[in-house]
Amino acid sequence: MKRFLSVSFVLGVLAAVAWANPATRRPSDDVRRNQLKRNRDLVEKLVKGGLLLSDESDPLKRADHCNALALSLAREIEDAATNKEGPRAIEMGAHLEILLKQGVAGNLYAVLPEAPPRSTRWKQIGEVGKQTMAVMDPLEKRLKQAADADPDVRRALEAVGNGRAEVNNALREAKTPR
Amino acid sequence: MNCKIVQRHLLAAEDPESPPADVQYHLAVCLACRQWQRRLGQIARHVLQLPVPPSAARADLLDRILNPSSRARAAAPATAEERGWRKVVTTLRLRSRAGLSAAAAAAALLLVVLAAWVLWGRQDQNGPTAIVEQPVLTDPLVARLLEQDVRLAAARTPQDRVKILADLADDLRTETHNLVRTADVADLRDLAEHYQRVVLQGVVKRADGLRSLPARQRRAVLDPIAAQLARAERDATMLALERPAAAKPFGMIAKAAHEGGNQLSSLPRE
Repeated sequence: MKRFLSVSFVLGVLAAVAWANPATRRPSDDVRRNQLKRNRDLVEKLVKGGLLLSDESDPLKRADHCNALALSLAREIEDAATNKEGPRAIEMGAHLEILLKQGVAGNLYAVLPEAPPRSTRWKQIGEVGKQTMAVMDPLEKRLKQAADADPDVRRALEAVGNGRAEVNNALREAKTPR
Repeated sequence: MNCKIVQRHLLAAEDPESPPADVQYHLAVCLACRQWQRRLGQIARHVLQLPVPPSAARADLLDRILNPSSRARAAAPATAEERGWRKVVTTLRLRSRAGLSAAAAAAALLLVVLAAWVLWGRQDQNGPTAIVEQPVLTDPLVARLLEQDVRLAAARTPQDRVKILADLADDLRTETHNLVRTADVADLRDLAEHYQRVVLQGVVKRADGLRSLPARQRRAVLDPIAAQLARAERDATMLALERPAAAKPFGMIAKAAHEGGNQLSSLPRE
């Protein structure tokens, strides 16, 4: 009796988990086919970007390559906002946030110990930062225009803003005397 | 990193709100896991609000230590509280083992229903913005490639770069495999070309740069990659035979894996 109840209990828990867990839901075949077509160029850029990153040992140049990828993502987000595709703007916004935080800012932080203020490396950090802002300024401007009417765009804007803030932190830290 | 692993990490984490970077990455691109994390946080917060039943155990223990003569009280009849519980048990006729088991099972079931309700059913109504999330159907291939790119951006050693490139190639191969029934042949061919490029221009080229490492360290990096390429060649060859329509892309993958494996094994072993 006891064993029967224990087994029933465990099975009940597993059934509840399987039924309710949203992580088990996958895009349908049609959705995947469309994603593959739609993201064809982006996939190509990500593969090429990966090869370039693997070829580079200088953190500043790696940050530079990440900026190039950030530009591709920024264009996808702008297109999504223009075409009122909120979920896509969120998806790409999340990617851009991570890329800025871990790819760009992460590499800027890595250079800081060898870049005392006013050194050549220090100036190069500033250049990389300027490139990031050149990508982010028009994107954020565009997203702000659409954010009031679309909560998804607002979420995308929040995500890319978080990424930009991390790059700004790294740039501020570079200016701090060490 | 997949949803299962991320959710296990979160369950085991002392503070699920601040997970490590790789988990954060997955959370950023996976709506389902973000919702899961939020509900886990809700449960953690609600557990703290559960009333703790009053207990006299601490006071009793102190009393026994400070006043040994009170030990006699331990043998005294049950307290009023205990008598109360016994009364409940008797009233509900739960004295038999079967009765108690049934009551325990009912309580457990109630607990499961409550947990499921809190974990999956409730919307976060206390959030400052209360945004209703629409389903974001993340493209798993884009997410994986970007994750590998971010890892490459952070990689500090040539060994790490080779390993990550091998993972990147394997992601492309796995996705081609997963999409064999769904995608057009032209799209599969694109993926196969990417695989070819990553193996031959990435993995093999970077592996060649490991010549300066001691042989043992080099083998520790390259042997698993060679085994991975051998598996890729075998699987792709079988798929090319099983699915003649997709023979070309899978033939390309098999060929690239074969060439890559040969070039890795041509590196000096000692």
